[in-house]
Amino acid sequence: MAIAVEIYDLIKFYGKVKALDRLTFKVNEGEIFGLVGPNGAGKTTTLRIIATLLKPSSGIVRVFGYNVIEKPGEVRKLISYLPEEAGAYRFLTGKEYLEFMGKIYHIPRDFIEEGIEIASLGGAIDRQIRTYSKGMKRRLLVARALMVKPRLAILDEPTSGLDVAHALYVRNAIRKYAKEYNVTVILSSHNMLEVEYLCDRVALVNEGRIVNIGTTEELIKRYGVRNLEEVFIKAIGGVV
Amino acid sequence: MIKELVIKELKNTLRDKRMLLSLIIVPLLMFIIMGGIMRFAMTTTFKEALEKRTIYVVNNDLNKYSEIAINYIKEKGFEVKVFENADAKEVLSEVEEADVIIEFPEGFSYNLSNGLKARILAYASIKGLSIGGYAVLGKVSGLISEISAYLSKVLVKEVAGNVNPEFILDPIASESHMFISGKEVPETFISMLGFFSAGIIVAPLVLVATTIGVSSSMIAVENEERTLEVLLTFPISRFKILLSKLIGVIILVLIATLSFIVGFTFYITAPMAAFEELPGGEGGPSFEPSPILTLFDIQTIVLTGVAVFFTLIAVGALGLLLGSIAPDVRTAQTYIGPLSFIVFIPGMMLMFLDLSKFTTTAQIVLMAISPFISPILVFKSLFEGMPWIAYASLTWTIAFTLITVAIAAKFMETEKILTLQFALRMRGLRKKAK
Repeated sequence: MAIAVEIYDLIKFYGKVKALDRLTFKVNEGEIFGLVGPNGAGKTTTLRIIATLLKPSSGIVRVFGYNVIEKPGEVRKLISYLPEEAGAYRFLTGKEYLEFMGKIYHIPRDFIEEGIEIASLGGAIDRQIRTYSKGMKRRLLVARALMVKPRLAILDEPTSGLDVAHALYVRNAIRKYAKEYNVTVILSSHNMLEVEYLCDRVALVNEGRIVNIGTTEELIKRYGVRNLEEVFIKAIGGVV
Repeated sequence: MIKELVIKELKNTLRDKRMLLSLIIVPLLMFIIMGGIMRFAMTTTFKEALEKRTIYVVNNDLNKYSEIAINYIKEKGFEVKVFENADAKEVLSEVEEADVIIEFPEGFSYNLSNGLKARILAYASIKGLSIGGYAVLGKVSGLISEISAYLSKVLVKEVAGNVNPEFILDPIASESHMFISGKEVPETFISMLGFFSAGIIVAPLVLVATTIGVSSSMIAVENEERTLEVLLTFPISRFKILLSKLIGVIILVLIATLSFIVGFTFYITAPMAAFEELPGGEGGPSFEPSPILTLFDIQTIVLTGVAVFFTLIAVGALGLLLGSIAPDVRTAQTYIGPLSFIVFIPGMMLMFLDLSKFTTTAQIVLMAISPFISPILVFKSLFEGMPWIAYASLTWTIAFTLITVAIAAKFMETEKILTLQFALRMRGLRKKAK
C-alpha cells in the first residue's frame, strides 16, 4: 500500500512556543486517518503544515512523496483543505462558488453536480452565500472539498457547526467519497463518535506529540477502556 | 486560471453594496446631486433676482443729466419708482420691496456740465446669505456702468458734434496672445486653467487613494470572511493569486475613476450650465478640450500614462501587503490612513506651487515619495520644462513597483501572511499587559 502522508520528527515553533514536538506518523493511501487531542495539542498546526500553509521549524513532511517545503506547488495539486473556521465568498451563490472551484481544479461538470448534491442545499444553492446559516455554509464547504476528488482531503473539524442529521449526512459523504474514489482523508475532530465511525486509524495528540496511534479497537484494548472517549481521557492523563 | 480568479474578485466585490456604494455610486451621485443642486439654486436665485424689473431711484439732483439717466433706465424696460429729495437709507428701510436703491446726489448734473466726475450711489439691503442677494447688487453695478457709458456718449456728442462717440470712447481694438511653456493657448483656456490644474492634480490623487483602499480591502476581506486559507491552498502559484488581485484592483479602480470623472465633470460644468439657462445669459466660459490637448506633446501623454500604470501597480501591491496583515476591512483602512498623508500633502503642494519654486531638498523629498505621486510629478515636470525630474521619478517609480510586487509575492509565499497578524495581535496584548 502506498504512503499518502509521511511525517518525521516534525517540530514547529511559534516564536518561543513549541507547538509540535518531534511529531511522527504515516497515513496510508485510501485511509481515513483521525487526529484527536485537546485544544492546543497541535492538530490544526499539523494539518496546516500538510496543506503547505505553514512551514515546519524542522522535520520532514511528504505528501505522496513530495516534500511540502521543496514542492509545495505539487502538493497543492493533490490536496483539498477544509479549515475549521472556513468561510466562503459571501456574494457568490452556492452554485457559483462550486463552479468557481471547479474551474480552479479543472474538474468536469458532473463533479460539480455531485458537489451540489453533497451540499444538499435544495433551491438555496442559487442564493448568495451571505444568506446561508452556519450549517448550510459548512455543507457547501465540505462539498467543495470532496467534489474535486483530491488524492488527499485535509479536513479540520468537518462537521463543526452542523446539527445531528446534517453531521451524519456529511460523515456518510466523506466515507462514501473516500472509498469510492480512493481519496485519502486526514481529519481532526473533537467528536469521538465521529472519529470512531469514520476513521480507519486514529492518532492521539497531546502537547505537540503523538501519544498513541492505532485502530479504534486497538486503542480501546490498549487502554483497557470501553470507548474512544475514555481512551482520549486516559491518553491525556485523566482518570476514567 | 487568472481569469477565473479575476471574475470571482469582481463578482464578489461589485455585489457588495458597501463597495459598490463607496466605489461607484457615491462619487457619481454625490457630484451629480451637488452639481444639480448648485445648478438649480443658481438658476432660481439669479432668475428671481434678475426678473425684478422695478428700480428704486432717489433723485436729489432733479436736473438735466439725472433725468436723462432715469429715462435711459426706463428705455431699458425697467419700471422706475422715483423718490425726490429723499434720504436713500430711509427709503431702503421703509419701503419693504426696495432691496436696491440708486441715488443721484445733489450736484450730479452740475458736476457733469462742468467737466467734473459725478457720483451715483447704490444702496443694497441683503436679507440673506444666498447668492441671489449678491446677484442683485451685481446687476445694479452693471446698470450703473451702462448709465455711465450712455452719459459719456451724450457728453461726447454735446462737445464734439458729428464725431462718432463710440470711436472717441473706445479707439483701441486689443488682441492678446497667451503662452504657457512656450505654447500659445486660446484666451478662453485661461479661464479654465484653475479648474484644469486642480483636475490634473486631484484626479490622480483620488485614483491612488482609491487603489490603496480597494486593494487593502480586497485581501483584508479574505481574512475577515476566512477564505484566505483555502485560497492559499489552491493549485495555483501565489504570484498568480497576487496578479489576479492586482488585475481585479485595477479594473475596479478604472470603473471607480470613470464614475468619478462623469460625476466631477457634471459638477464643474454645473455653474456654466446655470449661466446658460438664464434669460439672455451669455453663458460661462466655453470649455473646449481640443486646445488643451494640443498643449501636451505625445511624450508627456505617454510618460504620464506609464507613470499612472506603475503607480497603480505599486500602490495596489502595497495595499495588498497592508491588507493581508489586517484581520478585517476596518483595520485595513486604519493601516492605510497614514499613507494618505504621503499622497495628499505633496499633491496639494504641487497644486499650488511650480516645481521651480521647490528647494533642492524639497525636490529630493518629492522624488523619494514620487512612486505615490508619480503621474502628477511626471506631468508637471514635463509641462514645466524640467524633464530630468520626470525621468528620475519614472525610474524610481518603476524600481519601487518591482520591489513592492516582489516583496508582496515573497510575503504571500511565506507563512507570515497567516501568522503575522496573530503575532502583531499577541505583541499588542503583551504591551497592554505591561
